[in-house]
Amino acid sequence: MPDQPVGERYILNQSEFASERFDDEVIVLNTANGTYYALTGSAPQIWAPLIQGTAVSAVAAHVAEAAGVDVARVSGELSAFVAALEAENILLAADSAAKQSEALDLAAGADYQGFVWDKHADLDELLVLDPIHEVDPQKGWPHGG
Amino acid sequence: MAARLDQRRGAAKGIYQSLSRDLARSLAARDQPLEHDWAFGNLRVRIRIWGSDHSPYVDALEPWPEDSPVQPSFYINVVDAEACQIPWPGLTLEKNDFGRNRRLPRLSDARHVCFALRTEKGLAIADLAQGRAIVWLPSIESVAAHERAAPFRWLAEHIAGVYHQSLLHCAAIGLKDTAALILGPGGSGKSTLALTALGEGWRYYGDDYVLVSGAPTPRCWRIYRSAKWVAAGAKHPDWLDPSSGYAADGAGQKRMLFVPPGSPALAQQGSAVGLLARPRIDVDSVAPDVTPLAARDATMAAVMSTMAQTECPSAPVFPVMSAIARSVPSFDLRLGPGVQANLEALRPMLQAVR
Repeated sequence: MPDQPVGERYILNQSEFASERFDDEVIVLNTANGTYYALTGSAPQIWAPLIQGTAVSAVAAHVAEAAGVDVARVSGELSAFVAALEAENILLAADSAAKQSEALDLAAGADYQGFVWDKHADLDELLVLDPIHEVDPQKGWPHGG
Repeated sequence: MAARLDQRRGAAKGIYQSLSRDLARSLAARDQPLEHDWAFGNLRVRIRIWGSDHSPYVDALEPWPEDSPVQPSFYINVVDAEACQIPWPGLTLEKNDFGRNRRLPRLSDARHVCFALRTEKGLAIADLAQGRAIVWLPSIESVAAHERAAPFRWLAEHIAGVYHQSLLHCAAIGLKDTAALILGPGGSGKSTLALTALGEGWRYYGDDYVLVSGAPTPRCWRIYRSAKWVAAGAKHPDWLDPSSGYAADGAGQKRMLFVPPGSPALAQQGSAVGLLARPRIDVDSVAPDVTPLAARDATMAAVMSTMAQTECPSAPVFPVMSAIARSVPSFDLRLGPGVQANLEALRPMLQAVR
């Protein structure tokens, strides 16, 4: 197999994010600050293999074939989706696929609905931030607090 | 500045070792500590109090059953520094050492977690791999009221994570061998439902923090016996003296009570989880109303309120809660004006899933 171009494979940034699938939606949670992302449309169907390093071009080709959609269109939309999640630090470029990655399981005739993501910050509404420590710049805490 | 930051990175192990050495040296000649064992799900956590003949934690912690021979999996050494003459560990914390709540992110690593105990002006550090923690307090008398209601909550979520469990911000009540987790942020009605359940003879697993696991089947465990009582709130059971415990607010309207040992509500420490309920106060509601809730919404309600209340960003609350929500039904519970009617709305659903 020829080398894939840089940026062709991705993995989930597990030091900051975790993801779970619920029926027709994947939730990606920033475990440090509670911001979460809802991935819908055709994204849930490709999420598991995508974050295990399956090549983006292979994912796009599979989706296009299964849904009977122009591969250039799917490829462009998937690239934009991946770039957006990379910019959010959710996806990290990978050198290779995981040893055992989930197979793409889109059935023939599947509807193609694009790759949709929405960002939510519900936790901000719940957080009552503790007061910042009154740290004495000279003495530090607890001596100056 | 960069050099100074580099020195502080990776400091957790050094702080832990330094505290351990001081502890061992200072305590070598002392009498044995006061000990009591905490039932933390299936784990036995041994609390050792050094330098004090009383424990501020014993009323709230679920006690380990005396007839169970399991060896402790985790040890928490609490040091009364004044009595033991162990000085502050020689650490000066800077403003950006602090995270949200007690955890000190820059002084923690994957194995060691360091905490500033703000109210007490104390310090704690845990070695999760070794199963040891040291809690340095200026004095045992400095333990804060909220800490006495849910002792070591900040550490509990880390211990749970080691065992792929999670501390969940929820109430849990049940009938016989099936429990309902009551989800939602503070003020949504969790504690009122829990206290009403206590009064009606239901099983009680907690009104604020409960230990949960998602695999192989959803389960919950009581780890705290505390219960919030609001004078203007729910009916209380005959055996629960509302003047006991201690005032949890300045006005004396809210008290922190401890459910006495032997109460029928404490008959089981753990239970299978049968359903999830998200209460919602609606002033226009004349009667409770129950509607299905998506697993995704139940999960995020629990995850968001837990993350808002707790310290541990890496705790597995998300996968654990997702597994539970996929396995059991979830409901929105619009609360009516009658506290008993609200509780009774849960009864047929719990009976159906048993």
